[in-house]
Amino acid sequence: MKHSKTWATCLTLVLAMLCLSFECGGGDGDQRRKYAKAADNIAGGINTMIKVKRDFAQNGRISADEERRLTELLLRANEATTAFNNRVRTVTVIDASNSAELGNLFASVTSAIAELNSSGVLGVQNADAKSKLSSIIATINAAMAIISQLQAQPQPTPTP
Amino acid sequence: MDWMTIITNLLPLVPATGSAGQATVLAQLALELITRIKSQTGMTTEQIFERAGLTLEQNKLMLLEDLERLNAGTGSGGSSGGGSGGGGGN
Repeated sequence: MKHSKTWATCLTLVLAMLCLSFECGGGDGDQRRKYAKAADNIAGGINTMIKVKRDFAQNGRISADEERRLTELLLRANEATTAFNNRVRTVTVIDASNSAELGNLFASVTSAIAELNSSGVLGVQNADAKSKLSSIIATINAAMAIISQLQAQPQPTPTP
Repeated sequence: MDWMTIITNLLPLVPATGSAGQATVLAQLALELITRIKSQTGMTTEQIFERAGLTLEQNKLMLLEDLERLNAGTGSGGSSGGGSGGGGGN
């Protein structure tokens, strides 16, 4: 129990710092950069989860069926994030002309991560493994929260 | 940066978790996260996008590798539809 708490504390703090790293940027001009950072951190979170999943599987902390389920869901989340990253990358300015499309792509990422959590992580029997995987989901959610915040702001109208 | 100092100071806490092997993996992961966040400040936006793309590509390869391993090594009770697997690959 103590171990889980320590790990959860670590990741929670990392998560909080992750949020701070986004706040340091400043004004509207670097909105695209914030999207890039968020995509990078989501990609890093998925990468972390793959490695932890492998470690747990190797140590028998999750079953083969649990690992298979997690793997399939991670693949889906990774594909959704790839589509999002590729599209944002091609955009020069984020404004009203593209925010709806980016919103849809981002919604796919959000739902894939939500499913990874509900159908994958929460189904893990080993409580400690579940708790650690949940912490990683929390870091990914923190990165996604930044994008949600950006999308909630009114977008500038495109210049003709 | 102040927040970097805080994260770095968290590292000694990581070995307190679980088994030794697990602690090593977790420490590595914490380091990777730190490196990733830290480096973002020194990268251009395009570089961040590019790294995200590379990580996602690497993720995909790792996951496909895992699926292959899991599907090849099955054993555990009954994924339906048995196993004609052969096919004539080159």
